[in-house]
Amino acid sequence: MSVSLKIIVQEQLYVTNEPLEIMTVLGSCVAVCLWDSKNCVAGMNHYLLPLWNGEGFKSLKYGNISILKLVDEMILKGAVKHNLVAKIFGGASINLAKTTFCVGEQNIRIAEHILSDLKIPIVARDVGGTKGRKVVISSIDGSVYVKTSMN
Amino acid sequence: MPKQIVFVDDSKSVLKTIEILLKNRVQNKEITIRTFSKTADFLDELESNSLEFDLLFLDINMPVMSGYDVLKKLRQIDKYKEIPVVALTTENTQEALQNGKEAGFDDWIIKINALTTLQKSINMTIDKYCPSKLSEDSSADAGLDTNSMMEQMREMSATIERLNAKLLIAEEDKTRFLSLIHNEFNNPLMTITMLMRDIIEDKEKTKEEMRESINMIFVDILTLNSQLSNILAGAEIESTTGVSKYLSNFSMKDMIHDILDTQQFIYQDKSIAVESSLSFDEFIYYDRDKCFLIFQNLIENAFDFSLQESKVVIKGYMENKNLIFTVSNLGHQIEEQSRMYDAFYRERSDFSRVHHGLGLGLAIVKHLVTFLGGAVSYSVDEGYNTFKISLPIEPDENKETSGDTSSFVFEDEEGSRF
Repeated sequence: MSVSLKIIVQEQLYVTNEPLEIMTVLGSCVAVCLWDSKNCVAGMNHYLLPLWNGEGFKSLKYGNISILKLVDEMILKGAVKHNLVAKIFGGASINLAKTTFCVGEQNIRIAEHILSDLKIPIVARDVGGTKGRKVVISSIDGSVYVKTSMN
Repeated sequence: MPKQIVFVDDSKSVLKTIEILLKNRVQNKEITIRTFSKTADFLDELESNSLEFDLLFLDINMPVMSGYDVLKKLRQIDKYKEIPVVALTTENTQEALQNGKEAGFDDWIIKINALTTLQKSINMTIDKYCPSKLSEDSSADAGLDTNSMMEQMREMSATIERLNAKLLIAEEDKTRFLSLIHNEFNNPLMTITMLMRDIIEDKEKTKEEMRESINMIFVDILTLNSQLSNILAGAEIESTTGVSKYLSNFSMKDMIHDILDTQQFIYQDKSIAVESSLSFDEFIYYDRDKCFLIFQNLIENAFDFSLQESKVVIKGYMENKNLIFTVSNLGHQIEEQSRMYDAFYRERSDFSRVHHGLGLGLAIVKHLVTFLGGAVSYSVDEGYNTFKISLPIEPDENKETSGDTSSFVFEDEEGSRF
Protein backbone atom coordinates (compact mmCIF):
# COMPACT_ATOMS: atom_id res chain seq x y z
CA MET A 1 0.00 0.00 0.00
CA SER A 2 1.39 3.37 -0.84
CA VAL A 3 0.56 6.26 1.42
CA SER A 4 0.41 9.84 0.29
CA LEU A 5 3.42 12.11 0.55
CA LYS A 6 3.55 15.58 2.07
CA ILE A 7 6.55 17.64 1.04
CA ILE A 8 7.73 20.47 3.23
CA VAL A 9 10.34 23.13 2.41
CA GLN A 10 12.31 25.52 4.57
CA GLU A 11 10.35 27.60 7.07
CA GLN A 12 7.63 24.97 7.31
CA LEU A 13 6.58 22.16 9.58
CA TYR A 14 4.00 19.40 9.33
CA VAL A 15 2.40 17.09 11.87
CA THR A 16 0.02 14.23 11.18
CA ASN A 17 -1.84 11.48 13.00
CA GLU A 18 -2.92 9.76 9.79
CA PRO A 19 -0.88 7.32 7.70
CA LEU A 20 1.34 9.59 5.66
CA GLU A 21 4.92 10.26 4.68
CA ILE A 22 6.50 13.66 5.22
CA MET A 23 9.49 14.53 3.08
CA THR A 24 12.01 17.33 2.89
CA VAL A 25 15.44 18.01 1.38
CA LEU A 26 18.18 19.44 3.58
CA GLY A 27 21.58 21.07 3.18
CA SER A 28 22.81 23.09 6.12
CA CYS A 29 19.23 23.28 7.34
CA VAL A 30 18.11 20.87 10.04
CA ALA A 31 14.91 18.81 10.27
CA VAL A 32 13.75 17.55 13.64
CA CYS A 33 11.47 14.50 13.37
CA LEU A 34 9.25 13.78 16.35
CA TRP A 35 7.37 10.54 16.93
CA ASP A 36 4.85 9.36 19.52
CA SER A 37 4.58 5.59 19.04
CA LYS A 38 1.60 5.14 21.42
CA ASN A 39 -0.60 7.64 19.62
CA CYS A 40 0.99 7.34 16.18
CA VAL A 41 1.64 11.03 15.72
CA ALA A 42 4.58 12.03 13.53
CA GLY A 43 5.95 15.46 12.73
CA MET A 44 8.83 17.13 10.96
CA ASN A 45 10.13 20.68 10.71
CA HIS A 46 12.76 22.35 8.51
CA TYR A 47 14.64 25.42 9.71
CA LEU A 48 17.44 27.52 8.21
CA LEU A 49 19.01 29.31 11.14
CA PRO A 50 19.52 28.47 14.80
CA LEU A 51 18.23 31.47 16.70
CA TRP A 52 15.77 34.27 16.22
CA ASN A 53 17.71 37.42 17.02
CA GLY A 54 14.78 39.75 17.44
CA GLU A 55 14.89 41.03 13.88
CA GLY A 56 11.89 40.66 11.63
CA PHE A 57 9.24 38.13 12.52
CA LYS A 58 9.84 35.15 14.75
CA SER A 59 9.03 32.71 11.99
CA LEU A 60 9.70 29.02 11.39
CA LYS A 61 12.99 30.06 9.78
CA TYR A 62 14.59 29.82 13.22
CA GLY A 63 15.30 26.59 15.11
CA ASN A 64 14.37 27.89 18.54
CA ILE A 65 10.96 29.01 17.24
CA SER A 66 10.32 26.09 14.90
CA ILE A 67 11.13 23.25 17.34
CA LEU A 68 8.86 24.64 20.05
CA LYS A 69 6.02 25.09 17.57
CA LEU A 70 6.56 21.55 16.29
CA VAL A 71 6.16 20.18 19.82
CA ASP A 72 3.03 22.29 20.37
CA GLU A 73 1.56 21.04 17.13
CA MET A 74 2.34 17.41 18.05
CA ILE A 75 0.44 17.81 21.30
CA LEU A 76 -2.49 19.45 19.50
CA LYS A 77 -2.65 16.44 17.17
CA GLY A 78 -2.89 14.04 20.11
CA ALA A 79 0.69 13.26 21.07
CA VAL A 80 1.74 13.10 24.70
CA LYS A 81 4.95 14.90 25.54
CA HIS A 82 6.64 12.16 27.56
CA ASN A 83 6.12 9.66 24.71
CA LEU A 84 8.00 11.82 22.25
CA VAL A 85 11.29 10.73 20.77
CA ALA A 86 13.33 12.80 18.32
CA LYS A 87 15.53 12.06 15.33
CA ILE A 88 17.60 14.86 13.87
CA PHE A 89 18.99 15.23 10.35
CA GLY A 90 20.87 17.71 8.20
CA GLY A 91 23.23 20.47 9.27
CA ALA A 92 25.81 19.79 6.59
CA SER A 93 28.58 22.27 5.79
CA ILE A 94 27.50 23.08 2.29
CA ASN A 95 28.30 26.55 1.27
CA LEU A 96 31.87 27.65 0.97
CA ALA A 97 30.85 31.15 0.01
CA LYS A 98 28.66 32.06 2.96
CA THR A 99 30.18 34.22 5.62
CA THR A 100 28.18 32.31 8.19
CA PHE A 101 30.49 29.36 8.28
CA CYS A 102 29.19 26.97 10.88
CA VAL A 103 25.49 27.49 10.40
CA GLY A 104 24.92 23.76 9.91
CA GLU A 105 26.66 22.91 13.14
CA GLN A 106 24.87 25.64 15.03
CA ASN A 107 21.57 24.35 13.68
CA ILE A 108 22.38 20.90 15.07
CA ARG A 109 23.42 22.32 18.45
CA ILE A 110 20.26 24.30 18.92
CA ALA A 111 18.21 21.14 18.29
CA GLU A 112 20.26 19.26 20.89
CA HIS A 113 19.85 22.06 23.44
CA ILE A 114 16.16 22.59 23.02
CA LEU A 115 15.33 18.88 22.90
CA SER A 116 17.35 18.22 26.03
CA ASP A 117 15.61 21.16 27.75
CA LEU A 118 12.30 19.62 26.78
CA LYS A 119 13.56 16.19 27.96
CA ILE A 120 12.84 14.66 24.57
CA PRO A 121 15.47 11.97 23.86
CA ILE A 122 17.31 12.01 20.52
CA VAL A 123 17.17 8.36 19.44
CA ALA A 124 18.75 8.67 16.02
CA ARG A 125 20.70 11.19 14.04
CA ASP A 126 22.41 11.65 10.72
CA VAL A 127 23.98 15.09 10.83
CA GLY A 128 26.96 17.08 9.59
CA GLY A 129 29.10 16.08 6.66
CA THR A 130 29.11 17.92 3.38
CA LYS A 131 26.27 16.31 1.43
CA GLY A 132 22.60 17.12 1.07
CA ARG A 133 19.99 14.76 2.44
CA LYS A 134 16.52 13.69 1.46
CA VAL A 135 14.59 12.79 4.60
CA VAL A 136 11.24 10.97 4.75
CA ILE A 137 9.39 10.12 7.96
CA SER A 138 6.58 7.59 7.93
CA SER A 139 3.75 8.17 10.37
CA ILE A 140 2.96 4.44 10.30
CA ASP A 141 5.97 3.33 12.30
CA GLY A 142 7.90 6.56 12.87
CA SER A 143 10.83 5.29 10.85
CA VAL A 144 12.88 7.79 8.92
CA TYR A 145 14.43 7.07 5.55
CA VAL A 146 17.47 9.14 4.60
CA LYS A 147 19.19 9.32 1.27
CA THR A 148 22.44 11.23 0.80
CA SER A 149 22.95 13.40 -2.27
CA MET A 150 25.58 12.68 -4.87
CA ASN A 151 27.05 16.17 -4.67
CA MET B 1 55.51 30.03 17.40
CA PRO B 2 52.72 32.29 16.25
CA LYS B 3 51.16 31.43 12.91
CA GLN B 4 52.16 33.79 10.13
CA ILE B 5 49.44 35.16 8.00
CA VAL B 6 49.79 37.29 4.91
CA PHE B 7 47.17 39.62 3.46
CA VAL B 8 47.46 40.97 -0.09
CA ASP B 9 44.99 43.68 -1.02
CA ASP B 10 45.43 46.80 -3.14
CA SER B 11 43.32 48.83 -0.72
CA LYS B 12 45.34 50.18 2.19
CA SER B 13 42.17 50.89 4.13
CA VAL B 14 41.07 47.26 3.88
CA LEU B 15 44.48 46.15 5.15
CA LYS B 16 44.25 48.66 8.00
CA THR B 17 40.80 47.36 8.90
CA ILE B 18 42.08 43.79 8.97
CA GLU B 19 44.96 44.81 11.23
CA ILE B 20 42.47 46.35 13.62
CA LEU B 21 40.16 43.34 13.47
CA LEU B 22 43.01 40.97 14.29
CA LYS B 23 44.77 43.22 16.81
CA ASN B 24 43.85 41.07 19.78
CA ARG B 25 45.19 37.89 18.32
CA VAL B 26 48.44 39.57 17.33
CA GLN B 27 48.84 40.99 20.83
CA ASN B 28 48.19 37.55 22.29
CA LYS B 29 51.01 36.29 20.10
CA GLU B 30 48.74 33.76 18.40
CA ILE B 31 49.46 35.11 14.97
CA THR B 32 51.65 37.57 13.14
CA ILE B 33 50.43 39.53 10.19
CA ARG B 34 52.15 40.87 7.10
CA THR B 35 50.28 42.97 4.62
CA PHE B 36 51.09 43.87 1.04
CA SER B 37 49.26 46.56 -0.88
CA LYS B 38 51.38 46.04 -4.00
CA THR B 39 51.36 42.63 -5.67
CA ALA B 40 54.82 43.31 -7.08
CA ASP B 41 56.35 43.62 -3.60
CA PHE B 42 54.69 40.39 -2.58
CA LEU B 43 55.89 38.52 -5.65
CA ASP B 44 59.43 39.81 -5.20
CA GLU B 45 59.60 38.32 -1.75
CA LEU B 46 58.03 35.11 -3.00
CA GLU B 47 60.56 34.69 -5.73
CA SER B 48 63.47 35.28 -3.46
CA ASN B 49 62.03 32.51 -1.29
CA SER B 50 62.43 34.73 1.74
CA LEU B 51 58.81 34.89 2.79
CA GLU B 52 57.59 32.38 5.36
CA PHE B 53 53.88 32.11 6.06
CA ASP B 54 51.15 29.62 6.96
CA LEU B 55 48.11 31.16 5.33
CA LEU B 56 47.46 33.73 2.62
CA PHE B 57 44.43 35.96 2.17
CA LEU B 58 44.30 37.28 -1.36
CA ASP B 59 42.16 39.98 -2.96
CA ILE B 60 40.84 39.20 -6.45
CA ASN B 61 40.29 42.56 -8.11
CA MET B 62 43.61 44.33 -8.07
CA PRO B 63 45.28 46.63 -10.56
CA VAL B 64 48.25 45.32 -12.55
CA MET B 65 47.72 41.71 -11.47
CA SER B 66 44.56 39.90 -10.42
CA GLY B 67 44.33 37.51 -7.50
CA TYR B 68 44.03 34.61 -9.92
CA ASP B 69 47.38 35.48 -11.52
CA VAL B 70 49.07 35.95 -8.18
CA LEU B 71 47.81 32.54 -7.10
CA LYS B 72 49.13 30.97 -10.30
CA LYS B 73 52.59 32.48 -9.71
CA LEU B 74 52.58 31.33 -6.11
CA ARG B 75 51.70 27.75 -6.96
CA GLN B 76 54.59 27.59 -9.42
CA ILE B 77 57.03 27.90 -6.56
CA ASP B 78 57.59 24.54 -4.85
CA LYS B 79 57.85 26.00 -1.41
CA TYR B 80 54.36 27.48 -1.58
CA LYS B 81 52.53 24.66 -3.39
CA GLU B 82 50.62 23.49 -0.35
CA ILE B 83 50.03 26.78 1.49
CA PRO B 84 46.30 27.39 1.93
CA VAL B 85 45.10 30.46 0.05
CA VAL B 86 41.80 32.16 0.80
CA ALA B 87 40.17 34.72 -1.45
CA LEU B 88 39.07 37.83 0.44
CA THR B 89 36.99 39.71 -2.05
CA THR B 90 33.84 41.61 -2.81
CA GLU B 91 33.13 39.20 -5.66
CA ASN B 92 30.10 37.21 -4.65
CA THR B 93 28.74 35.85 -7.90
CA GLN B 94 28.49 32.14 -8.54
CA GLU B 95 30.76 32.52 -11.56
CA ALA B 96 33.51 34.20 -9.60
CA LEU B 97 33.21 31.52 -6.95
CA GLN B 98 33.43 28.79 -9.55
CA ASN B 99 36.46 30.44 -11.17
CA GLY B 100 38.02 30.69 -7.75
CA LYS B 101 37.52 27.01 -7.06
CA GLU B 102 39.02 26.12 -10.41
CA ALA B 103 41.97 28.46 -9.90
CA GLY B 104 42.73 26.59 -6.70
CA PHE B 105 41.56 28.85 -3.90
CA ASP B 106 40.98 26.83 -0.74
CA ASP B 107 38.25 29.09 0.60
CA TRP B 108 36.33 32.21 -0.24
CA ILE B 109 35.36 35.03 2.08
CA ILE B 110 33.24 37.91 0.98
CA LYS B 111 34.19 41.36 2.22
CA ILE B 112 31.18 42.90 3.78
CA ASN B 113 30.54 46.00 5.80
CA ALA B 114 29.38 44.07 8.83
CA LEU B 115 32.70 44.09 10.62
CA THR B 116 31.88 41.58 13.35
CA THR B 117 30.78 39.06 10.77
CA LEU B 118 33.88 39.69 8.70
CA GLN B 119 36.08 39.41 11.77
CA LYS B 120 34.40 36.14 12.66
CA SER B 121 34.84 34.76 9.16
CA ILE B 122 38.52 35.65 9.05
CA ASN B 123 39.11 34.24 12.52
CA MET B 124 37.31 31.02 11.72
CA THR B 125 39.29 30.63 8.52
CA ILE B 126 42.53 31.17 10.40
CA ASP B 127 41.47 28.55 12.96
CA LYS B 128 40.52 26.19 10.17
CA TYR B 129 43.82 26.34 8.30
CA CYS B 130 46.13 27.16 11.16
CA PRO B 131 44.77 25.22 14.14
CA SER B 132 46.50 26.33 17.32
CA LYS B 133 48.60 23.94 19.41
CA LEU B 134 45.91 23.33 21.98
CA SER B 135 43.36 21.91 19.61
CA GLU B 136 46.00 19.86 17.81
CA ASP B 137 46.77 18.09 21.06
CA SER B 138 43.20 17.37 21.98
CA SER B 139 42.27 16.31 18.50
CA ALA B 140 39.40 14.20 19.78
CA ASP B 141 37.56 17.36 20.71
CA ALA B 142 35.79 19.25 17.94
CA GLY B 143 38.58 21.79 17.68
CA LEU B 144 37.26 24.05 20.43
CA ASP B 145 40.36 25.70 21.80
CA THR B 146 40.12 28.18 24.62
CA ASN B 147 40.64 31.13 22.34
CA SER B 148 37.75 30.40 20.06
CA MET B 149 35.71 29.59 23.15
CA MET B 150 36.58 32.98 24.62
CA GLU B 151 35.77 34.49 21.26
CA GLN B 152 32.41 32.76 21.26
CA MET B 153 31.70 33.87 24.82
CA ARG B 154 32.52 37.46 23.95
CA GLU B 155 30.24 37.24 20.98
CA MET B 156 27.52 35.65 23.08
CA SER B 157 27.61 38.41 25.64
CA ALA B 158 27.54 41.00 22.87
CA THR B 159 24.49 39.24 21.43
CA ILE B 160 22.83 39.18 24.84
CA GLU B 161 23.43 42.90 25.28
CA ARG B 162 21.93 43.57 21.87
CA LEU B 163 18.94 41.37 22.64
CA ASN B 164 18.45 43.11 25.96
CA ALA B 165 18.30 46.48 24.28
CA LYS B 166 15.81 45.05 21.80
CA LEU B 167 13.74 43.60 24.60
CA LEU B 168 13.38 47.02 26.20
CA ILE B 169 12.20 48.51 22.93
CA ALA B 170 9.88 45.55 22.39
CA GLU B 171 8.33 46.16 25.81
CA GLU B 172 7.65 49.78 24.86
CA ASP B 173 6.18 48.67 21.56
CA LYS B 174 3.92 46.22 23.35
CA THR B 175 2.62 48.83 25.74
CA ARG B 176 2.01 51.13 22.83
CA PHE B 177 0.39 48.46 20.73
CA LEU B 178 -3.04 48.56 22.35
CA SER B 179 -3.32 52.31 22.12
CA LEU B 180 -2.05 52.03 18.58
CA ILE B 181 -4.76 49.54 17.67
CA HIS B 182 -7.25 51.84 19.35
CA ASN B 183 -6.27 54.81 17.17
CA GLU B 184 -5.69 52.92 13.98
CA PHE B 185 -8.95 51.01 14.09
CA ASN B 186 -11.24 53.00 16.28
CA ASN B 187 -10.90 56.31 14.49
CA PRO B 188 -11.69 55.10 10.98
CA LEU B 189 -14.46 52.84 12.28
CA MET B 190 -15.98 55.75 14.12
CA THR B 191 -15.91 58.04 11.09
CA ILE B 192 -17.35 55.32 8.89
CA THR B 193 -20.23 54.74 11.31
CA MET B 194 -20.92 58.47 11.70
CA LEU B 195 -20.85 59.18 7.98
CA MET B 196 -23.05 56.20 7.18
CA ARG B 197 -25.62 57.22 9.74
CA ASP B 198 -25.55 60.73 8.39
CA ILE B 199 -26.18 59.47 4.86
CA ILE B 200 -29.04 57.26 5.99
CA GLU B 201 -30.72 59.85 8.23
CA ASP B 202 -30.26 63.02 6.23
CA LYS B 203 -32.72 62.63 3.37
CA GLU B 204 -32.02 66.16 2.12
CA LYS B 205 -28.43 65.46 1.10
CA THR B 206 -27.44 66.51 -2.39
CA LYS B 207 -25.76 64.09 -4.69
CA GLU B 208 -22.51 66.04 -4.34
CA GLU B 209 -22.56 65.82 -0.55
CA MET B 210 -23.34 62.11 -0.71
CA ARG B 211 -20.39 61.60 -2.98
CA GLU B 212 -18.04 63.40 -0.69
CA SER B 213 -19.12 61.34 2.31
CA ILE B 214 -18.81 58.09 0.41
CA ASN B 215 -15.33 59.02 -0.74
CA MET B 216 -14.30 59.61 2.84
CA ILE B 217 -15.76 56.27 3.87
CA PHE B 218 -13.92 54.61 1.03
CA VAL B 219 -10.56 56.03 2.09
CA ASP B 220 -11.12 54.86 5.65
CA ILE B 221 -12.07 51.39 4.50
CA LEU B 222 -8.93 51.23 2.36
CA THR B 223 -6.81 52.16 5.33
CA LEU B 224 -8.48 49.54 7.51
CA ASN B 225 -8.14 46.99 4.77
CA SER B 226 -4.41 47.44 4.34
CA GLN B 227 -3.87 47.41 8.12
CA LEU B 228 -5.81 44.19 8.38
CA SER B 229 -4.01 42.51 5.51
CA ASN B 230 -0.70 43.37 7.17
CA ILE B 231 -1.85 41.96 10.49
CA LEU B 232 -3.01 38.79 8.76
CA ALA B 233 0.26 38.49 6.84
CA GLY B 234 2.24 38.97 10.05
CA ALA B 235 0.14 36.33 11.76
CA GLU B 236 0.68 33.94 8.86
CA ILE B 237 4.43 34.45 8.95
CA GLU B 238 4.52 33.63 12.66
CA SER B 239 2.01 30.76 12.46
CA THR B 240 2.83 27.06 12.56
CA THR B 241 1.92 26.62 8.92
CA GLY B 242 4.43 29.26 7.89
CA VAL B 243 4.49 30.98 4.53
CA SER B 244 4.31 28.96 1.34
CA LYS B 245 4.77 29.88 -2.27
CA TYR B 246 1.62 29.90 -4.41
CA LEU B 247 2.41 30.33 -8.08
CA SER B 248 -0.13 31.48 -10.61
CA ASN B 249 -0.37 33.39 -13.87
CA PHE B 250 -1.21 37.05 -13.47
CA SER B 251 -0.57 40.44 -14.98
CA MET B 252 1.88 42.44 -12.91
CA LYS B 253 0.91 45.63 -14.72
CA ASP B 254 -2.77 45.26 -13.91
CA MET B 255 -1.97 44.48 -10.33
CA ILE B 256 0.07 47.64 -9.86
CA HIS B 257 -2.57 49.70 -11.63
CA ASP B 258 -5.17 48.22 -9.28
CA ILE B 259 -3.14 49.28 -6.29
CA LEU B 260 -2.75 52.79 -7.73
CA ASP B 261 -6.48 52.97 -8.50
CA THR B 262 -7.50 52.16 -4.97
CA GLN B 263 -5.00 54.68 -3.64
CA GLN B 264 -6.02 57.52 -5.90
CA PHE B 265 -8.18 59.30 -3.33
CA ILE B 266 -5.21 59.38 -1.01
CA TYR B 267 -2.72 60.78 -3.49
CA GLN B 268 -5.16 63.13 -5.14
CA ASP B 269 -5.93 64.52 -1.71
CA LYS B 270 -2.27 65.44 -1.26
CA SER B 271 -2.00 66.55 -4.92
CA ILE B 272 0.74 64.03 -5.57
CA ALA B 273 1.61 63.32 -9.17
CA VAL B 274 2.27 59.70 -10.05
CA GLU B 275 4.73 58.78 -12.74
CA SER B 276 4.79 55.12 -13.56
CA SER B 277 6.63 53.18 -16.20
CA LEU B 278 6.00 49.47 -16.19
CA SER B 279 7.46 47.18 -18.79
CA PHE B 280 6.56 43.63 -17.96
CA ASP B 281 5.42 40.70 -20.02
CA GLU B 282 1.68 40.43 -20.24
CA PHE B 283 1.55 37.52 -17.83
CA ILE B 284 3.98 36.43 -15.19
CA TYR B 285 4.00 33.08 -13.44
CA TYR B 286 4.77 34.03 -9.87
CA ASP B 287 3.41 34.42 -6.36
CA ARG B 288 0.70 37.00 -6.86
CA ASP B 289 -0.48 37.50 -3.30
CA LYS B 290 2.99 38.12 -1.94
CA CYS B 291 3.79 40.56 -4.75
CA PHE B 292 0.56 42.36 -4.03
CA LEU B 293 1.38 42.83 -0.35
CA ILE B 294 4.93 43.91 -1.12
CA PHE B 295 3.94 46.48 -3.73
CA GLN B 296 0.91 47.72 -1.83
CA ASN B 297 2.99 48.44 1.24
CA LEU B 298 5.73 50.21 -0.68
CA ILE B 299 3.33 52.31 -2.73
CA GLU B 300 1.22 53.19 0.28
CA ASN B 301 4.30 54.21 2.24
CA ALA B 302 5.50 56.36 -0.64
CA PHE B 303 2.23 58.31 -0.68
CA ASP B 304 2.12 58.62 3.06
CA PHE B 305 5.67 59.94 3.36
CA SER B 306 5.39 62.23 0.35
CA LEU B 307 5.34 65.98 0.72
CA GLN B 308 2.26 67.86 -0.51
CA GLU B 309 2.24 68.45 -4.27
CA SER B 310 5.27 66.27 -4.86
CA LYS B 311 5.84 63.33 -7.12
CA VAL B 312 5.98 59.56 -6.71
CA VAL B 313 7.91 57.63 -9.34
CA ILE B 314 7.20 53.95 -9.87
CA LYS B 315 9.28 51.81 -12.17
CA GLY B 316 9.01 48.15 -13.00
CA TYR B 317 11.06 46.14 -15.45
CA MET B 318 12.84 42.85 -16.01
CA GLU B 319 16.59 42.53 -15.71
CA ASN B 320 18.32 39.14 -16.17
CA LYS B 321 15.31 37.12 -15.11
CA ASN B 322 14.90 39.39 -12.11
CA LEU B 323 11.85 41.49 -11.63
CA ILE B 324 12.95 44.96 -10.55
CA PHE B 325 10.52 47.33 -8.92
CA THR B 326 11.40 50.76 -7.56
CA VAL B 327 9.28 53.32 -5.74
CA SER B 328 10.65 56.81 -5.13
CA ASN B 329 9.08 59.61 -3.20
CA LEU B 330 10.09 63.11 -2.18
CA GLY B 331 10.27 63.45 1.57
CA HIS B 332 12.71 63.39 4.42
CA GLN B 333 14.91 60.35 4.68
CA ILE B 334 14.47 57.52 7.14
CA GLU B 335 16.34 58.25 10.34
CA GLU B 336 16.71 54.93 12.04
CA GLN B 337 17.70 52.76 9.13
CA SER B 338 18.87 49.97 11.40
CA ARG B 339 15.36 49.55 12.73
CA MET B 340 13.36 50.31 9.62
CA TYR B 341 12.58 46.65 8.90
CA ASP B 342 11.62 45.80 12.49
CA ALA B 343 7.98 45.04 13.14
CA PHE B 344 6.15 47.82 15.01
CA TYR B 345 8.83 50.38 14.24
CA ARG B 346 7.25 53.53 12.86
CA GLU B 347 9.08 56.34 11.20
CA ARG B 348 7.95 59.92 11.53
CA SER B 349 6.37 61.05 8.29
CA ASP B 350 7.08 64.69 8.98
CA PHE B 351 8.64 66.60 11.82
CA SER B 352 5.89 66.12 14.33
CA ARG B 353 3.58 63.38 13.21
CA VAL B 354 4.36 59.71 13.44
CA HIS B 355 3.51 57.78 10.31
CA HIS B 356 0.10 56.21 10.60
CA GLY B 357 -0.28 52.46 10.65
CA LEU B 358 1.01 49.72 12.84
CA GLY B 359 4.62 49.71 11.70
CA LEU B 360 4.26 46.33 10.05
CA GLY B 361 4.60 47.26 6.38
CA LEU B 362 8.34 47.21 5.83
CA ALA B 363 8.84 44.24 8.15
CA ILE B 364 6.44 42.28 5.96
CA VAL B 365 8.02 43.53 2.74
CA LYS B 366 11.45 42.46 3.97
CA HIS B 367 10.27 39.04 5.10
CA LEU B 368 8.33 38.23 1.95
CA VAL B 369 11.03 39.47 -0.41
CA THR B 370 13.63 37.37 1.42
CA PHE B 371 11.28 34.40 1.34
CA LEU B 372 10.98 34.74 -2.44
CA GLY B 373 14.77 34.79 -2.71
CA GLY B 374 15.00 38.47 -3.57
CA ALA B 375 16.47 41.59 -2.03
CA VAL B 376 15.20 44.99 -0.88
CA SER B 377 17.35 48.10 -0.62
CA TYR B 378 16.81 51.71 0.38
CA SER B 379 18.66 54.72 -0.95
CA VAL B 380 18.39 58.50 -0.87
CA ASP B 381 19.20 60.64 -3.88
CA GLU B 382 18.47 64.36 -4.23
CA GLY B 383 15.70 64.22 -1.68
CA TYR B 384 14.10 61.19 -3.24
CA ASN B 385 13.73 58.11 -1.06
CA THR B 386 13.88 55.01 -3.18
CA PHE B 387 13.00 51.48 -2.30
CA LYS B 388 14.23 48.91 -4.77
CA ILE B 389 12.99 45.34 -4.87
CA SER B 390 14.54 42.65 -6.95
CA LEU B 391 12.78 39.30 -7.24
CA PRO B 392 14.10 36.24 -9.09
CA ILE B 393 11.28 35.18 -11.38
CA GLU B 394 13.04 32.01 -12.39
CA PRO B 395 14.96 31.10 -9.29
CA ASP B 396 18.63 30.58 -10.02
CA GLU B 397 19.31 26.95 -9.17
CA ASN B 398 22.71 27.74 -7.77
CA LYS B 399 21.75 30.71 -5.72
CA GLU B 400 21.14 29.81 -2.14
CA THR B 401 19.30 32.74 -0.74
CA SER B 402 16.13 31.46 0.81
CA GLY B 403 17.07 27.84 1.07
CA ASP B 404 19.93 25.59 0.23
CA THR B 405 18.33 22.53 -1.22
CA SER B 406 17.72 23.24 -4.86
CA SER B 407 20.95 21.91 -6.32
CA PHE B 408 21.25 18.41 -4.87
CA VAL B 409 21.23 15.34 -7.06
CA PHE B 410 19.88 12.07 -5.69
CA GLU B 411 20.45 8.77 -7.42
CA ASP B 412 18.20 5.78 -7.29
CA GLU B 413 20.03 3.71 -4.79
CA GLU B 414 19.04 2.56 -1.34
CA GLY B 415 19.31 5.06 1.48
CA SER B 416 19.43 4.26 5.16
CA ARG B 417 16.67 3.87 7.68
CA PHE B 418 16.70 5.48 11.12
